[in-house]
Amino acid sequence: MIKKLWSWLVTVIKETLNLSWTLVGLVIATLTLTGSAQQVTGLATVITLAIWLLTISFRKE
Amino acid sequence: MRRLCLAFFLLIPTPALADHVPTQTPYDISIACDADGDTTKGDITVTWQESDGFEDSPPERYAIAFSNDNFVESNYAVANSTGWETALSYKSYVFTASYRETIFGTTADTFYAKVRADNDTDASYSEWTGIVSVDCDYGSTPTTTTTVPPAVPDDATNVSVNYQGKDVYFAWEYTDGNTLVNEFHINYSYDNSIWDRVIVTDTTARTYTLDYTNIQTGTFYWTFSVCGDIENGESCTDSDSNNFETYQYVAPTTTVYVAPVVEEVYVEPEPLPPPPEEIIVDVKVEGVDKTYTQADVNDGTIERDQERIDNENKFGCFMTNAQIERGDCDITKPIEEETKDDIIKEEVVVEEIKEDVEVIIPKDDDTILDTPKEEIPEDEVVEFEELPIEFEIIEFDLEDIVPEIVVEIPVQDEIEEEIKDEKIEEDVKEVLDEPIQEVVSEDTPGTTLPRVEDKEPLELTEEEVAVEVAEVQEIVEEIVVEEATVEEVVEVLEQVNDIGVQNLNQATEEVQEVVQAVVEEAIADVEELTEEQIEVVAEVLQVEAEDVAIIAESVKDDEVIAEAVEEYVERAVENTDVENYTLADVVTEISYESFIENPIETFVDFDDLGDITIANIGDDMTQDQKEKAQEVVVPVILTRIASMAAFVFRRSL
Repeated sequence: MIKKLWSWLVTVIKETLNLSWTLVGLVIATLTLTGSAQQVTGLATVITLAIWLLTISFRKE
Repeated sequence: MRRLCLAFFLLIPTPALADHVPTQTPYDISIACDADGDTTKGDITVTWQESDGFEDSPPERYAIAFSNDNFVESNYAVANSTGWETALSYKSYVFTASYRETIFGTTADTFYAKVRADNDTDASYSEWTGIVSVDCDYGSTPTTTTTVPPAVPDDATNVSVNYQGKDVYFAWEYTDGNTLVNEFHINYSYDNSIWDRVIVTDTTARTYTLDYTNIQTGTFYWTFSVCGDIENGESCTDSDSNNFETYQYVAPTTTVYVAPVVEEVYVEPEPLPPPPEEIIVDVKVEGVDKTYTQADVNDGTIERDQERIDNENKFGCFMTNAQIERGDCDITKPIEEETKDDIIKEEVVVEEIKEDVEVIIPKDDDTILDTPKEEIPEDEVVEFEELPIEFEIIEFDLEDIVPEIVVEIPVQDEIEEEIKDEKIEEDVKEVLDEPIQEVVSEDTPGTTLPRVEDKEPLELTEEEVAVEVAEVQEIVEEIVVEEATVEEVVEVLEQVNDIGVQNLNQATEEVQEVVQAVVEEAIADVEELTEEQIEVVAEVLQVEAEDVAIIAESVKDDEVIAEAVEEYVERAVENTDVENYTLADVVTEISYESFIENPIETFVDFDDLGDITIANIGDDMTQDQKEKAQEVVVPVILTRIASMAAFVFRRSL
């Protein structure tokens, strides 16, 4: 179980690193925006990243 | 006894009755003992320098206090018989050996003295000078002489005075030397006899604006002095002085706004009052009398006009020597070649217009251009002879405007042809009457000419900035932000707009803080502002007018924008070198700082999430913020799409 969790964590880190440049861009975009646009962009970024990481195995099948 | 009474009387300080400009403390006190005089041996002479006379209550007499124990217990004083006579001249008082012996019972003690200037009429008394002392035993040579020379600060440099018919602006440069400056003195007078003094106690100040209410018609004499700690025996140095003519300012009638929110009532403006300059010179130019004002004399207009006339006779170019040296007058190139050129740059077009003008003015001038002279009928020549004054106005415009436009505006062929056609087909007089600046700045469809009214970066000389900053400072000093009316707030912002927020780096921190407070006040009271006033606020923040309301609304519930407004002036001043620095930049900076401080909160902010709909996303962003965000977001998306496409393409191979 721990081995599986560790393996998943490694995969998550790898996937996140693959998205580094995109995340940098989105962070900059979020910081440039204000008000509702900033809220929506920030929230969408976090949610999408979470979905992306949770569906790694699903997408690889 | 009488002496004691007198001494007692003189020692009673009455500073509360001092004049606005107090009686000055005597300068340069010194003390000496006569060691070898036959009849004066053992006499002690106390010498001091009279003031520069720039005071309302000049000394009527001088009190000399003396002691043999440095004024610990013994404290005597005498008064001389003469008051102030000549500026900076020296006066002295002699204490004979016998007199000292009478007072102290001996001449062996060290003799201490100090001097004060008194004006009993005005009850104005200066501070005491520093104490000087000497050992002067009767019949013996002085053993030591302790004289404290008055310390004098260094001179101010580049003292300049700018007068344009209203206020008088002083500017100077100063660097502290061995003696620190305590205050700057600006003395001015209209009769070179009775002087008014302005004391600038802010030693960091390098400008001062003398309000026009102090300006009269007449010769304005001024001196500028740098003063040390006068109360502690230091003195002043006269850095510069001069005089010029001034004229009492007549304020123009302005539009009066009544009830800013409810309704604006405009009072029909009266015709502008005549310019304050008095016409003083009458010169005949090209057979026509031309009058010049004092301002023309001061700024060299007369000299330049004379140069133009001379150069016109010599080269056929109605230009100043500077323009000739710069090569603006094509002396060797025949005009026929110019007109036949296939490619005509705008510079050439303008020159041709000028040269055509020049041809007709010197009726007898055949040095360069003789053809037009033969073709012009006599009656037209008579008509043109009346034009030089009108022509001069155009020439001034050319000098001021053309060089900038020629350099910056790419002229399309259509415009060149248009101007060329006008020049050939139309009557020469019409060319003269045509406002040339309108021709070259005309917004022609299909061309890339920028509009003249497009906002250009504010470029002021250092001196102009200093003058404007002084104006801002002057207004700011009079305002209490908490009690300021909307009109006062807007007035301050208008002054700030004149120089640009970023140029406030030359103002003191206090001024910057007040301007900042005024900006916040304006945003808070945005509902009370008229459209014109909102535009002023928008210009300060470097945003569109409609964005001001958005900012005012956002400030209420967005901490980042609220902080951005609070720190806008400070950050704009810090980023003086950054071009087009706006409120959006401040917002981004603060967002970044907030993100560094707490990254999670920036991304997971669920406040008011329920109020957001797809239709209103971004409505609470200013136009400027949107543009700056686009500059970032769009490249990010495009880059991501490109990288994904490249990835897919690579896998498909």
